[in-house]
Amino acid sequence: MIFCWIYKQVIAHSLDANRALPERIQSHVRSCPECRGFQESEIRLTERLIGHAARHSETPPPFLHGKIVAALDQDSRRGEAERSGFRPGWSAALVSLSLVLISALAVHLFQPARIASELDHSPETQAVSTTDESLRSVVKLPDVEMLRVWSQNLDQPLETELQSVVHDARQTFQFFAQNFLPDQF
Amino acid sequence: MLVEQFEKRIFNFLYHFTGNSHDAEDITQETFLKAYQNMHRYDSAYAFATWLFTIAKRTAISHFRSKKPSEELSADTEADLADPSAALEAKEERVSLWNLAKTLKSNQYETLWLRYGEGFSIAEIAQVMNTNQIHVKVLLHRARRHLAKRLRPPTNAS
Repeated sequence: MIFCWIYKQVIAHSLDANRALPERIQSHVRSCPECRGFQESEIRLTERLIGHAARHSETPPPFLHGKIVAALDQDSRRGEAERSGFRPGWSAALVSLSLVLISALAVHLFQPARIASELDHSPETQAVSTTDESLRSVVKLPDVEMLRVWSQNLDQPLETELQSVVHDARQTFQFFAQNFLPDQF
Repeated sequence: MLVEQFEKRIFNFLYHFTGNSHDAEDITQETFLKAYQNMHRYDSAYAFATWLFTIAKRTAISHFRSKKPSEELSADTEADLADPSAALEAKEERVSLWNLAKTLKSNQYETLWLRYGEGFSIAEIAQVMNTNQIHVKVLLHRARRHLAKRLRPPTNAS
């Protein structure tokens, strides 16, 4: 009887673990009606539990799938924005700063008066004016006074040009702001 | 898609765990979100289902830590109130095997469901329940023994 109790434990554990019974236990079960009855009832119970599980299942609400997918999608978008380091405020500031720098650079590079003045005092210009007389005879180079007059005349078109550059930049910025920045900007 | 493959199983598990479809729905959604966010932590050496069920179980525990589970009027109770014949059917259903299993201790019922409802191995159940395999075997053994005892009277009567 005490052995039967042990055998029953082994039978139950073997069934739980989906393992075949050891040969010694099997031979005991064959000869012992009590253990055989226990094994049969355990197998029946297992089969009923598995069979009834499908019937016992609950059907998820119809919108659950959509809700899960929407939540995942929202989280995915938020994650992508964080990974790319996208911050609408920072982007706007960065674009503005870039435009200011480009404008400043344009003013610095295309200022004719300053270029003319630099040319007056640069050693290269002096070298050209003093040493290369033969070149002057072939190509009529403008003298300092002429360059000054030209630069004064060029100031007006340069201002217009700069205004046009700033206008273009502003339009570009507005285009970016309308198309790529969120609504609150 | 993983959601399609597992949503019903996870919902079912949580429904049995919580006994409430609203909570089960919320926790199912939260489970998939957590799984997605922690996908990099998943170790492919283990079954994906086990990992997902582990998340579901932990999410349910933390959900109820912050919120008392809301009682839901069961289908049987509703039937009792509405229609006597439906109540009789409900009574018959009430004595069905898994409804009887619900009267077991929650961890025994959970072990039974994971083993026979979900078909997990002992090792997988241990992982989901955050315990060792010996404890799972003991729980399973006790659950089956108690269930067999509760099933005995109608069996003897027939």
